[in-house]
Amino acid sequence: MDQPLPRGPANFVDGNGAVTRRPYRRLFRLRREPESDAQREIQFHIYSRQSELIAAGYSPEEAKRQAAEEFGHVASVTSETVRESRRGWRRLQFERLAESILQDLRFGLRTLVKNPVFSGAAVITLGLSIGSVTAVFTVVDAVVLQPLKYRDPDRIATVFSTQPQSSANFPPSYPDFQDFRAQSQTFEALALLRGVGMTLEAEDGFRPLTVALVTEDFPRVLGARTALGTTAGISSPSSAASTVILKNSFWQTRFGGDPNIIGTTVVLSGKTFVVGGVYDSRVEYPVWADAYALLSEDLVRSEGIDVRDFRVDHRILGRLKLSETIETAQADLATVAQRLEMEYSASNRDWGVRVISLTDFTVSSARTSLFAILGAAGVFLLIGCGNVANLSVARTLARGREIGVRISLGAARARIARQLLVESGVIAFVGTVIGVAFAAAALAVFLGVGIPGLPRAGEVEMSRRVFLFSAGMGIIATMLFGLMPALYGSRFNLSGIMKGETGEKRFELYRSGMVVFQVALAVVLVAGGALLLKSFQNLQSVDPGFDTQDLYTFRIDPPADFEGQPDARRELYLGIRDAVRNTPLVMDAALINHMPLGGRGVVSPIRHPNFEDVDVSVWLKTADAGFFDVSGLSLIAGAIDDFGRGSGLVVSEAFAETFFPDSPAVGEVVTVFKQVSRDPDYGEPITEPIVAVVGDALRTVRENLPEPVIYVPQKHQVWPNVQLLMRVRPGAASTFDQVSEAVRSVDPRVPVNEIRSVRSFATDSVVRERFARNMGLVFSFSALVLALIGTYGVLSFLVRQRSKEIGIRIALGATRNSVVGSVVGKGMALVSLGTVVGLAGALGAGRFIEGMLFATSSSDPGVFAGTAAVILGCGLVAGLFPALRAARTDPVGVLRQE
Amino acid sequence: MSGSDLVTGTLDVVILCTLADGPLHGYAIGRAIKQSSSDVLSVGEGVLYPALHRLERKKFLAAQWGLTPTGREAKFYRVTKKGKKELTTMAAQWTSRSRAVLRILSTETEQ
Repeated sequence: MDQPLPRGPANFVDGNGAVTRRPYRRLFRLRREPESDAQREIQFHIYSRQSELIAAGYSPEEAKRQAAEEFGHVASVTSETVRESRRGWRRLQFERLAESILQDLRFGLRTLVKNPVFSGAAVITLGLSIGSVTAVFTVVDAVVLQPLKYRDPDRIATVFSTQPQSSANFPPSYPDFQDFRAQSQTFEALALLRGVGMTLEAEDGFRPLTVALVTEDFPRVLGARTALGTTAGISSPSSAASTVILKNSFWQTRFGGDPNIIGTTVVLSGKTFVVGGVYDSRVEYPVWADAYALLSEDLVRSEGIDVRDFRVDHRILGRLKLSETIETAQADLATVAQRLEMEYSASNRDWGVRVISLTDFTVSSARTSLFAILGAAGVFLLIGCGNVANLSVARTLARGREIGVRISLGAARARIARQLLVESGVIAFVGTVIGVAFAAAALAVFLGVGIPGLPRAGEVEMSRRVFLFSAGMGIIATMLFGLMPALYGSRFNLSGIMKGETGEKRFELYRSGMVVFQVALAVVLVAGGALLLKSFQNLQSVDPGFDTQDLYTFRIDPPADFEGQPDARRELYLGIRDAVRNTPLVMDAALINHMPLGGRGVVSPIRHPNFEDVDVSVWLKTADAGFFDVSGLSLIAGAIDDFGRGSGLVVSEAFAETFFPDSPAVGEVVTVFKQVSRDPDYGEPITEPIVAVVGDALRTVRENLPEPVIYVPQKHQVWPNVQLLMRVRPGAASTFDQVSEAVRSVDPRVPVNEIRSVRSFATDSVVRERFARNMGLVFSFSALVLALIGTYGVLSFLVRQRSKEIGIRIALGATRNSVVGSVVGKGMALVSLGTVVGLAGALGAGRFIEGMLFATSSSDPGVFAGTAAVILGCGLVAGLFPALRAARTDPVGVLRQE
Repeated sequence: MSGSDLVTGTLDVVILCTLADGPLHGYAIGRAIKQSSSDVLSVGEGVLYPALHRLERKKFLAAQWGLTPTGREAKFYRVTKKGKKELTTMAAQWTSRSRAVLRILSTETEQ
């Protein structure tokens, strides 16, 4: 960079004609402002002449005047010289270019305003397509591309336990965690989190929340900022008071963002906590937590988690040492896990370990679908560009005469090309601005409603990168649709124009290619959308195994003093159940610890002489006898009566088929183990005969796989909280005030949280799929419409262009049908070619979204055949209108024009 | 943009030629041209300085600020390698062109 020197006359020649010098000037000897450079040079010239004159006998004053006179006009010579110097010349060139581009711009704007239909169509098409891709990119950028907002997020990892035959991530047990922490070589720190449901005593009643009980290293491992207060209450706890750190969202919703909350006390499940801090709004991990509290040694004891095979509700989060990677950490902890397998074969046989980076853990679920949607938006943009390109070419052809006149008046071809490119640029610019506005509006709507299953949704914002991206999209769009007209302008055939030709033939191939291209892209999107649609239908038609009509449920969270008191809890549950059952709204009510379709569950080892030496587990559920009746699970064998009396177990059909495939399961005596960790009888065996087999109820819709379930009566095991299941009178479920009242009458401290329809479990578990399907449908429908408009446009143009030929053919006796046939045939040829190309592309694209599909092959022949049929059918319609217009051509009129 | 191509071309050759013996500043160049052409060619400052800057931009000349024997700061120009090459081709062109012009002139006077 040239260093600007201070300007002003004193810098050049002082009163005596001497050049003043500044000490630092020598540094910049070669780097002068061109103006000062020329000025000083000329001053030197005048001075030299002056000295010469003085030497020749002039007086100094005379010499000065004479020299100045001889030289002429100093300022004009200076400016002429500056203009020829390097920088001055460059500036001049730039000014000239800017001026002529400005001229192009003005001219472009004028022509665009004069063609409001063309400009409007082009700008709106571009706006919508650039807007969609910008909106999706905004989400992708914030969620997938940007690093998590923790300190050195690459060094944070989650640790899960694994089993050989399963890809699932299991929560690790507390003792395993302790060994990982003590023996790991690769982690700077490791922390365990345990999720527990608690109730918050607030002025308006008891509110449920989920608290992450964390070991003291957690704040250090996470490395997140607090919005208020500190995390010191967890990392260096004092014995005085228990501290709770609030998640930002919980602080906002429950405490209204109270800025003075630090130091106040809250009562959680009967215990008093001091609020020590509020995390930054970008702290999302773990998603289920509302608040964080210390998992003290006392809590480890009272929670009963110091048991090696208790792998429930736990997470491990670790911070890697500087030089370590996920791979080295994986190898490191795998060694520890192997050691544990040998040391504690009863509890740890076949248990491995899996280390996942927190980034992957957070965003991997959303990554595929986000990129798929981004891809769809990108394809949509390409189709949109295709349409605008078609429009531009048509318009350029229509302006053939104007361009011809300009060329014959001496306009350079490059200049014409630039003019056309600038016009495209203006369209793209306006389109981009509209697109950004559209993206902002769309994002506001989507984020307001909530994008299901989207991690880091709070971080989504239109950053500078997003604006750069959309600007880039605008430039790419200009290139895509503006290059053809520009090329046309530069290769304009002047003699052709004079002869009345408009050079349209040359563009026929280009425009036909554009139809094929657009149709192919539309096929890809339609096929993708159809795959998602079919997948979603498959997902929805899954039979949960019971009738969800009029079935509602809510969770009963007993107050804190019921902890460790199974009998008291049972009385409470039964009391609430009976009270609810007696309300007029409810036909029948029952209790179950984990709702079918709710996704949650607990497993227990199972023992029986048939499979003594095999380590097997089953899903263990606690229910009352009414559960089977209320849920409507079919009874397959045996009778429920004994279960009601507390003697005997009920198993699912899948259980019977898995464990007793050849003999009846009823009558077999099996042993399972109690799983309520906080009760004193945790791990004690329940040995009872199987009294009945019932139909399978799905745990989740997505894993449409009947699993072996064993139901234990409440007599043996009372869960810390239960779901109350009720079937209400048909059509009566508008308000549940009666139910809330009934619950309060039994114990006012029991919060009645949201009462949900069981059907909503099924629909809620597929919200992501529904969202993906909706996006797929929106994009494929829009793409279809755009591609059809493109096809229609090209065919209409073709008909107009060949109207003379068609008129002559009709005059020579061609039937209207044959005219229609030839136009439609031409269109269908292009559409078919596009369809074939598109189907090939869709096969590839389908493989990419395979992971998003449920019970649907990515190359589903029905979907592909249907897509082809839809596209060809639409192509037919798009071709029919121009064809009919062609058939109406009046031969006399056409020939008269000759 | 003053003068025709021929004049501009001529001036460029003359400047490059003048500088072939060693660096000079603008004033000296003007004087040297005047002297060596026996006062036939006189280059006005309004043409000379733009020409010098144009030749510098085209990298035929390189310029450096330095001190004159009297201790004044002046901008000295010298011919670059590129300038020397240009001089050779331009000189050849110029010679052949001026020969052609002379031939035309001589035939005209003969007729």
